[in-house]
Amino acid sequence: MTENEIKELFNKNVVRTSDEFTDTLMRKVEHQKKAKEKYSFSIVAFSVICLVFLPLIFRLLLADNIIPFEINVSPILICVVGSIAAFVLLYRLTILRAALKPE
Amino acid sequence: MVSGADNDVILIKRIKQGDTQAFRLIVEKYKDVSLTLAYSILRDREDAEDVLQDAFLRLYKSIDKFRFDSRFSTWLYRIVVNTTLNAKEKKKNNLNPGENLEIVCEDKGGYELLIDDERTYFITKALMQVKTEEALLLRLYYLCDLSIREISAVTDLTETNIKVTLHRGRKSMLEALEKITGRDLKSLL
Repeated sequence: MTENEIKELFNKNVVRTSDEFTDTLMRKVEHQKKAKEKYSFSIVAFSVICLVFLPLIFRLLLADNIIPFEINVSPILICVVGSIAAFVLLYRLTILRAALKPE
Repeated sequence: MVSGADNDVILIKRIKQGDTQAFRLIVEKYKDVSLTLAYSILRDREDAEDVLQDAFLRLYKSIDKFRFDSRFSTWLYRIVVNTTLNAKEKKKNNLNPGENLEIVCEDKGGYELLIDDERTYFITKALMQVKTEEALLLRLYYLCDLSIREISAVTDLTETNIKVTLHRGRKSMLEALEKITGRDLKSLL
């Protein structure tokens, strides 16, 4: 038997998927996509809120001497960096949770 | 005219941009060959189909990691083979003590009912008698049309090892076919 003949044998011996295979898979993909979009929106919204309110809270904490040491870095800068870090962390965690969540 | 590989590149770029219809086209193109690969390892059609769903989902999630430095099919088959081997390992660990793996891998008859072609039946039977690793490599080589180097990328086996296994597998499969059919193999073509 030649190589081409063996190849032909294999090409004629393909296991076919069931009729609903692609539709079932596409439903799972759409679910995953929607979950990702939903979580992304929530995280962006949360980060924006953090960005707006954290500087105010930080200023209040400083004004009331609740934080007992001097900080030379701008509170705004700290809050911006903090918000970005919160965004990245939450994004990672929620995407992971969405991926683990059953359909 | 756009070749198959070029067409894949276009589709992958569309998937990366969030086009799920492009993903559907990729699934339609590769699902049967991928299922055949998964079936080579698990030897159970339903299990193979479940595992293939997981493999395609993994592919969709990690599509951004595909950098076009290899053929898309090679990357896909690697994901399919790895996902299937992991599933097989899990299944092996879930077996009750004393349960024989061979029984799990046995041809169950349900698959036979789906086969309406005598030739396909004989080839499937012959491949069931060949070692799992040999059947997988034979299918990667002849069905998926991968080179020895690409099979090495999919399976992590050395090129020498693949050549030896392919030679052994080819011999075993043809012997099994002759035994099953008891006639000239050319009549199967």
